Amino acid sequence: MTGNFDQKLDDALPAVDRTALIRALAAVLPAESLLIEPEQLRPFECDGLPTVRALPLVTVLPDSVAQVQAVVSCCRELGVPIVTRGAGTGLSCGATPVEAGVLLVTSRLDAVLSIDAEARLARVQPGVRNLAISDAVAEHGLFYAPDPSSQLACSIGGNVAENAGGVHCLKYGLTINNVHSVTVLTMDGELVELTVDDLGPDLLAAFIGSEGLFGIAVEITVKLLPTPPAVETLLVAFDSVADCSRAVSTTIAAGVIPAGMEMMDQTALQAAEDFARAGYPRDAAAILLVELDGHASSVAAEREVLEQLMRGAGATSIRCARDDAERELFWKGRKSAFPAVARLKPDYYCMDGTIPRAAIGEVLDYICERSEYYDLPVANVFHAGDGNLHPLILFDANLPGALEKAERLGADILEKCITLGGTITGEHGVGREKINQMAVQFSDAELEQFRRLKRAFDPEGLLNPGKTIPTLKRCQEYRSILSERVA
Amino acid sequence: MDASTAIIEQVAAAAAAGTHLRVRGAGSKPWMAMAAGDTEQLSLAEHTGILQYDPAELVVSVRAGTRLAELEAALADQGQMLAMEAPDFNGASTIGGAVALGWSGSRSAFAGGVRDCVLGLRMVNGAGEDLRFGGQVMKNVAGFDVSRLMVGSCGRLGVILELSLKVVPLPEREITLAVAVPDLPSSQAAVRDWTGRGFPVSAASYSEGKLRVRLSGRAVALDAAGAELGGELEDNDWWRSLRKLEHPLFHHGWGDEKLFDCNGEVCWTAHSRRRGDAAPVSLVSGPDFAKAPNRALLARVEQAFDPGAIFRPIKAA
Ligand SMILES: Cc1cc2nc3c(=O)[nH]c(=O)nc-3n(C[C@H](O)[C@H](O)[C@H](O)COP(=O)(O)OP(=O)(O)OC[C@H]3O[C@@H](n4cnc5c(N)ncnc54)[C@H](O)[C@@H]3O)c2cc1C
Repeated sequence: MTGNFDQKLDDALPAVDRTALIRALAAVLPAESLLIEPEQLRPFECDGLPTVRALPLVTVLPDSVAQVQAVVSCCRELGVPIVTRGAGTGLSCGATPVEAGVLLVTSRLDAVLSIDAEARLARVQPGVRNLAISDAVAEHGLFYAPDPSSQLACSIGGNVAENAGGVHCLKYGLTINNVHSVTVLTMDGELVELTVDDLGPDLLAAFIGSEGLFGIAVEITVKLLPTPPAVETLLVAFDSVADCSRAVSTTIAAGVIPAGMEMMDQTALQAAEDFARAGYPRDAAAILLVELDGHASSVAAEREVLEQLMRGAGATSIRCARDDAERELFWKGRKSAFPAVARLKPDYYCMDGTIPRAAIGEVLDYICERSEYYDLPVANVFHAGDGNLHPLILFDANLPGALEKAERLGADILEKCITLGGTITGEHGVGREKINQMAVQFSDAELEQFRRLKRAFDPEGLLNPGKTIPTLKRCQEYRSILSERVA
Repeated sequence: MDASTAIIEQVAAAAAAGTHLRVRGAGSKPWMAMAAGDTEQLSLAEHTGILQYDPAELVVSVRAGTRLAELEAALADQGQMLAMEAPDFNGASTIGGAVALGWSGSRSAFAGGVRDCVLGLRMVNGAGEDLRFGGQVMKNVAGFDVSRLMVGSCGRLGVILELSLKVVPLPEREITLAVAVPDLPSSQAAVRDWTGRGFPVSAASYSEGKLRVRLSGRAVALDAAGAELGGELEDNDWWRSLRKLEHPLFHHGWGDEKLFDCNGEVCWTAHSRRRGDAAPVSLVSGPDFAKAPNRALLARVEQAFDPGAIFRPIKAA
């Protein structure tokens, strides 16, 4: 049973009069902002996880908040679902269109509206790329901390919708910890400003990570941080994955919280080395990239402690980046690891479970065993400091049954994460992809509470329908398949 | 002691009978009394104890009625602390009450507040359902973030039964430096300069022409800070007096004087606290939810958790 849309298991989509919809949208949008031809719609049929695809009825590319409001009001009146799309780099089919709906793309809402260097805040439109924020504020000695590996391309609106993380989230937190306020356009056409200062329940926190189901983020104010004056990046090699995993827990237990702590196994590090020439030791079984930042004196002190811990944990070599150029190279290898691994096989499937750090070794062993069972190679490159795994399952979708096998292997890994006290997604979101596993992680009452919360924001259920929260029917079906498998 | 069964039964009974409940921790914030005098109380005072604590995971799970002071002592035994410093009134505040109120202490402008350290929780909604959201790991985006939504909910969405919270290592050392400055903007400019130079500032307050800054970190970095920044070394009790609301200002005030904590984000006057541009909260009568922004949306969210409005009794006049 896959995450593909299934009329028997998912809520029915409304019947939509496409002609009337196009007429209504054409009245409020300039022609170049309304795409209706199949060849124009094709590029938007999937996000970064191409296993689920669909063509929307139309795609709109508004370039002002007023245009977004006009689209929302047309769709509300005609009862048409809307899927919001940022840059489409999501890895859980969150921005995959629905066939009976409008795809609203934010890429033209790409202005940095204002920078307050004193308050260390930047007000931006949702289509601004993550890295563009740091670029825009660099002249003030500031940066925006959450740095997903996709930061060159992904949008801040998509980051807010997914509560995106990155390689420096160990110290600086996720999107949720770095956003000051969001202006949300709800389906009833109202602009609602949610801020960290609001009295009452934390609606801003509830909106962040709501995967486009609550409203459209049309303006975001992010918190900025001063660029740390001193940074050290260490490349630490191990000749066993178990030693490397243990080194992660040991470091945290010793009270050292690096800015980032990333792990790569041999398959991943070799692929990244071939791709980026980052200077990784190809013969290592696993490496850690560890970054320390702050005041020069404390960075020096922490580096000493860290090197000692690493040697104690069995590190075979420790290299410290000599200068910014080498540091960038170390990170380039890490940040291009997904595309690098992707070169090994025609297709890859990236998982995103999180587990307690102490279980990293155990879960990597399990992945290895399952990888042999399904006869599909898996590369591991992940946010080890946070216990956030990214197993990359390699396969060839052209071989019959291969995709199903990859999905089964992925499901096994996610369900193992739940068993170990973790979660099915640390940062990529549920979307369509992990919709079945929601039935494993949550009870019916919890899922029903999610649905009621969704209706509080979007009573008609027009925003991103079918995503994130499975129907009761789908849950029952998936749970019965699982129990049959056990029996 | 695990009182969850009794608590869930009490909520279910109220839901069935259509009566109201007023959720109460240990009663350290009597001004939070939200309801008319005859509303039945639901107390978490007996629902206490640490459920799980593995220091290497930087997470602690605890029953909501556990006193903050007790929890912090257990963490300190392992060289750790909560990643926030919520107010602790009369040493009696519970962790559940601290989260339900959602007031972040001095550390929040630099290292995060209450909502930044909530990782997961178990709660009872207004229908008497026993629910778990979030988890015990640092990163978790499965489903909507109900755990953090509950921060600041003041008992109006449901009863928090258990919490999983992020903890951090205790800093090697902490010092407080005081500098005379003419006003709040110049105090903020100084803090900007210090954080920009990488010094580990963990709190900054301004009152009576004085900026006080707390630095928390490696001893060597604090030695460097002391040498570079100047200022007068004070003892760290200042922050404790703010946290426990022991400073006389909170109770008497003095003329027009205000006390700014969290680098200006929080403003205290006699008997009230204001965060940013939000409506001030009175230390006498508690938060006034009629002043919460986005009333219509908030009302729908409250309805989604508590359809019978059992946790939203009419406030006493
Ligand atoms: C190579 C690669 C590496 C990656 N590395 C990371 C990583 O390190 N950390 C990480 O967290 N993620 C990572 N991702 C995943 C992805 O980049 C993030 O999820 C990102 O936040 C998605 O942003 P986007 O603009 O592409 O959103 P999209 O994919 O377009 O949309 C994602 C979701 O957000 C919703 N959405 C988008 N914009 C809005 C808006 N304005 N208002 C409301 N809802 C909206 C959509 O409906 C959808 O549900 C990676 C992806 C790739 C391809």
